[in-house]
This record gives sequence, C-alpha cells and structure tokens, in this order.
Amino acid sequence: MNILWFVLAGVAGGVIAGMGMGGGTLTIPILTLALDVDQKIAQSVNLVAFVVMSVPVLVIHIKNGLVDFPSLLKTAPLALIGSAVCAWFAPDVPAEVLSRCFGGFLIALGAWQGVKALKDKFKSKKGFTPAMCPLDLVGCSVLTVSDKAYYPKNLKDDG
Amino acid sequence: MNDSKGGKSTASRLAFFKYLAALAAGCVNGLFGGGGGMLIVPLLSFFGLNAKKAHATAVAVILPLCLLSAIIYIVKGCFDMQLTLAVGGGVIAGGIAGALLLKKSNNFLLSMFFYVVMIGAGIKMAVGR
Repeated sequence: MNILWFVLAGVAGGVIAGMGMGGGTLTIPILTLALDVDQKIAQSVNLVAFVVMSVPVLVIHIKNGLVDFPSLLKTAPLALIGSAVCAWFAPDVPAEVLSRCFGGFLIALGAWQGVKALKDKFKSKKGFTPAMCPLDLVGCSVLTVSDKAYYPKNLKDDG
Repeated sequence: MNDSKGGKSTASRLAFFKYLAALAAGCVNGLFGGGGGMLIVPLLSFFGLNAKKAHATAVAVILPLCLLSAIIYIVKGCFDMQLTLAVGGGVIAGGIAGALLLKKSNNFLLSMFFYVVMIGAGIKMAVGR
C-alpha cells in the first residue's frame, strides 16, 4: 500500500481534530475500513498521533487562558485511572470485538451529537424569530409562551 | 456551578454522575484509543465552561490519558513505527489546516456531514466484514 494514503488518512483525521470534533473517531475507521489496518494498530497510531499533535495545541490554549484548571483537576484523575485500566486490557481483547464495539460507540456518538447539533440550530433560530418576526405580535407571543429555548442560547456561555 | 442548586442528595448524585462520566470517558479512550474527548467536552460544558474553554480543557484532560495509553500499547507490542510516522505527519498537517479552517467554514453543515459519516462508518464496523 502506498504510504501517501496513510498520510492522507492522517490529514483527514487531523483536519477534523483541529476543528475540535474528535479526530480519532474519524482516523481509526479510515485506517481500518479503507486501508485495512489492524484495529489495535490503528488505535495505537491514533493515540501517538494525538499526543504529538496536542502538545503545541495545548501550549497555545494555556497561553490564551482557555484551560480551566479546576475542571481539569476534577475530571482528569478518574479519567486517567479509567484509561490506564482499559488500555491495559485492550491489547488482549480480540480485534474483531474491539472493532464491533467501536462501531457501536460511533453510531451512538454520531446520533447523539447529530441530534444535539440539530437541536442547537433549531433553538438559535427560534431565539431569533421574534426579533424579526414576519408575523404579527400574536405569533411572537405564542413562541414566547411555548418554549423556554426562546432565550438566546449563548447568554450562559459568556458568564 | 450546578451544585448550588437543589438539595444535598441531588447534588451528591450529580457529583457521582460527573465522576462516573469522567471514568467512562477514560475507559472509552483507553479501550478504543480515542473518542474520550467527545465525552469529556459535553461533561465540561455541563460544569459550566463555554464551548471554547470546554474544547481547550478537554485537550488538557485527554493528553495525559493518550500519553499513558500510548505507552501501555507500545509496551504491550501494539505499535507500527512506519505507519505511526506516516499517519502522525498527516495528522499534524491536517490539524493545523483544521484549526485555520475553523474560522471560515460553515460549521453546521460540516458537522452534520461528519456525524453522518461517523454513523455510516460505525454501522460498517459494527456489522463487520
């Protein structure tokens, strides 16, 4: 297999990762489905690639003050324990089992995030409607009563 | 923070859920070699971080997990040097491009496309070949 295809697979995953949408969830299926890489090797490649890529990214984020250290301390220790235990067992799990479970994980994740993205889109549209309501005041007040999502969604985010 | 609302039992149940979610995200990341970030970001948003901070902090959470998992995988013999170099180089180039593209692109359509691809790939992997 031409090495260029592997580089391109990395680029595809990297673009998605750079956009903050979870690049590993794309890199692993490309490697296993399109390029016939073993599931566990694909996982190890993804882990190493993420470590290398995220060091400079993280330095920039810390400099910009975007890393919230209290939340980091609340989350990281347990996540670290979970990953250490599971990473220890992962290489001993048959590749086919891992692959099928990962497929299930992707379906659930894609459906969940897709529905969430649709909901957010729908909400932000609804929030905008009364400001430039094409209908009369009655139409606007119906919207106001019917849904709390009427308030602009990003009010909380600025806090 | 969310803890200030509600009674004591609700708060402790909520705290339990948060720790469980962090543990689960770690397990997923160790078992599948990725994907933990997709669970950490919503959890951090739940803590009250905005989207940008949640993503940045998620990187900080995931980096040590991936480092530790990568070491364990390599020690256990799950490693391909040439493949890692090729894909890793691509990931770095793509990561820079993605971070730059993020400012210009239509996020909604792109992410919907990404989720459809994700579900499609998931079905193919779950069914097996």
